[in-house]
Parts: sequence; structure tokens; C-alpha cells
Amino acid sequence: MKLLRLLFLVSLLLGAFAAQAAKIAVTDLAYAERVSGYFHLVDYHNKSSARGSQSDRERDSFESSSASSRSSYSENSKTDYTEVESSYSYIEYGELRKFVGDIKGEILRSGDFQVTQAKPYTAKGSEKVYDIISRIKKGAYPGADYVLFGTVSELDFRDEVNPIIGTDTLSNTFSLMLVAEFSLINTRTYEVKAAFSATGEGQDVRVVTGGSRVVPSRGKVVSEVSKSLGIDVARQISEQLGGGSYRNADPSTGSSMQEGEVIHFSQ
Amino acid sequence: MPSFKSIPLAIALLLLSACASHKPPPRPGSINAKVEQLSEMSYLQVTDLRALKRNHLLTVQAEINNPDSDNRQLYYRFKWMDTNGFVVGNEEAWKPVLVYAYQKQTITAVAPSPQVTDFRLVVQSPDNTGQLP
Repeated sequence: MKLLRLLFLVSLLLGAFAAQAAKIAVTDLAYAERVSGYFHLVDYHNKSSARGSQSDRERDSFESSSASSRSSYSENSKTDYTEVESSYSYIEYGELRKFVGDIKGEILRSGDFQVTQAKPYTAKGSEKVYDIISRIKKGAYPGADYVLFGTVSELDFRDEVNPIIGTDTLSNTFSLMLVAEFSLINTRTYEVKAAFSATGEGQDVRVVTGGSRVVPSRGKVVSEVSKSLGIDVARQISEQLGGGSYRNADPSTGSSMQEGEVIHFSQ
Repeated sequence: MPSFKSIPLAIALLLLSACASHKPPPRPGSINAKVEQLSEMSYLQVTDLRALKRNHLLTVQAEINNPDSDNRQLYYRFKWMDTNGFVVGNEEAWKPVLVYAYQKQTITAVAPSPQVTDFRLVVQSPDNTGQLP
């Protein structure tokens, strides 16, 4: 009986150790972007030459006088003109080396996983960046039990100027929204343990009067996007893995009111 | 001896007066929690108050009611605060509004910064009672 109890305790301890040791590698966010371009080439060469000569002769004596004049002029011109126009388009694949720092930070804070470093994908111009199984097999995530594979769905910069009603000032909003899809993949069984899309949002709002010019802080916006994306990812992982214990103690925005929400105070 | 008998009565009176001078704090989410009156207004009342976040800036609208048959003068200004309760920006100037007899006057204001998450509407009138609200 004692032996059984001991075995049970050992298995519990081992289980706890295994649960603690679950390691996760976070990939950089993969993206595919269509790059389109247009070119219009005009090649124009003009070569011209002109040549002129004139000679005058005059003779004067007691008996006679004579005068002659001769002139010549020649001009030569040559023009070459070439015009080419075309458009081109290709899809660029790669990994965004931004925005994942705070995801790792929030996962660490949640305490559910240990984070291991993933090898970056450095091959260029290939759709293989999405072939996560091949990358796992090639050993891009050493020591990881799970890989959090993220792809960029949309990255949207907006620069808006809106008048503030009732005043002569304007609200200049520079914002960035990033939507990315994530899959949490087991590196041994390739089972997807969680899948979701997460959003990161950041903005820099300045109140300006007519005529003044403001330069938005891109750094502040990118930092806010990264932080809010990290919080959203950690929250959704926690929700889908059944724990739901993740609590963000320090929300970056700090504002309890949502945009467009009306609060009506009672008597 | 009669002085000893009057002690409980005096204590009771003191307690009563203390209760009378200390009104309960305003309910959170009520108009009174957001309006600061510099002594109680005799005639004017803030009858409606609402806030909205528009373009990341807090916008506040208040309705002032004058149920009296005479025109009444009102002075107001807003105090803007961030999430930690610190005042944002400098103190505003008092703004005068004449509220006509039986009129409901609407005043609106926009916060000076997106950091603003809370506000107080400070109101005073020459016809104030001179007593605490």
C-alpha cells in the first residue's frame, strides 16, 4: 500500500514537472505581401550639327572693279526616341521581426509556459515560410514542446484629422492596427492546441489648432501595438487551454471608456 | 444637579446637528458625483449629464434647467482628470451662461487631452444660497 502511494506521489511530481516544463517557441510573424510596381521609361537622344561658311572677295583697280561673294550652310539633325512602359507584381514572403517581444513577455508572466528561442526564417521569397511542419522537422525550434505560429492578416496605418465639435481645434489621430492569426502547435504530434486571431492596436492622438503641425510618434504607436497584441495573445491562449487564469494587471490603455460609448449619469 | 440631567440631551442634540451637517456622499455614477457646486444653487439645476468618448477625447454634455420665472446667471468650468485622478491641464476660466426663465440650456465641452478619463463640472451662480450643497 505504501509502495503504491509512493508511486502515485512520484507520478504526480513527475506530472507536475512535465507540466512546468512545457516549453513554447514563438515564431516571428510570417507575412505575404503583394508588391506591385509600374515603370515608364523614356529614352530620348537628339544630335544636331550646323555648319556655315562665307567668303567675300573684292577687287578694285583703275580699269575695273569686281566683287564676289560665296556662302554655304548645312545642318544635320538625328533624333532617337524610345518609350517603354509596363507594370509588374510579385508576392513577397518573409517574417516581421517585430511585435513578438511582448507576446513572449506576457506568456512568461502567465506562468503556463517556458519560452524558448526560435531560429529565424531567413530564406527569401518563398512560400515555405508557411510550412510550419517542415520548419519543425528541420529543427527550427530546439527544445520546444509547442510552437506558437503567427501570420499577419492585416497591418493598417491610419492618419486622421477630425474637427472637435464645438471648438476650433482638430484631433490628429495616428493609429496602427495589427491583426494576426496564431496556432499553437504541438511539435511532436502536430496537434493544434489553440488557434485564434489577435489584435494589437495603438494610437497617438494630438489636439491641434489650425495651422500648427504635429509629427506623430511612431515609436509610441508601435510600442502600444506590441503590448496590446501580447496581452490579447496571452489571454486567448489561457482561455483556449482551459485555464482562463490569465489576468493582465497593468492594462496599457488605462481607459475604461470605449470609443463611442455613452455614459448617462443618473439623478 | 439639573445640569447633569441636561447632559444626555446636549449629547443627543450634538449628534443630531452632526448628522444634519454631514450629508451622505453622492452615489457613484450620479450627477451629484460629477457636479461640484460652490454653495447650493437656489434656482438652477443640472438635470441631465452624459459623457461620450469621441475621437479618443472625452466629450461631456450637461443640461441646466431654470424652473424660475426670472432669468438666472450661471458660471461654470470643467475639471479634467486622468485615470489616477490627477488634474490634466491648467485650470479653465469661468464661462458665463444666461439661462432664461423656464429654459433648459445645454452646455458641452471636450477634454483637452486623450489622457482625460474623468471630469467634474464646477458650477456657481450669484443666486447661490451660501450653504453647502
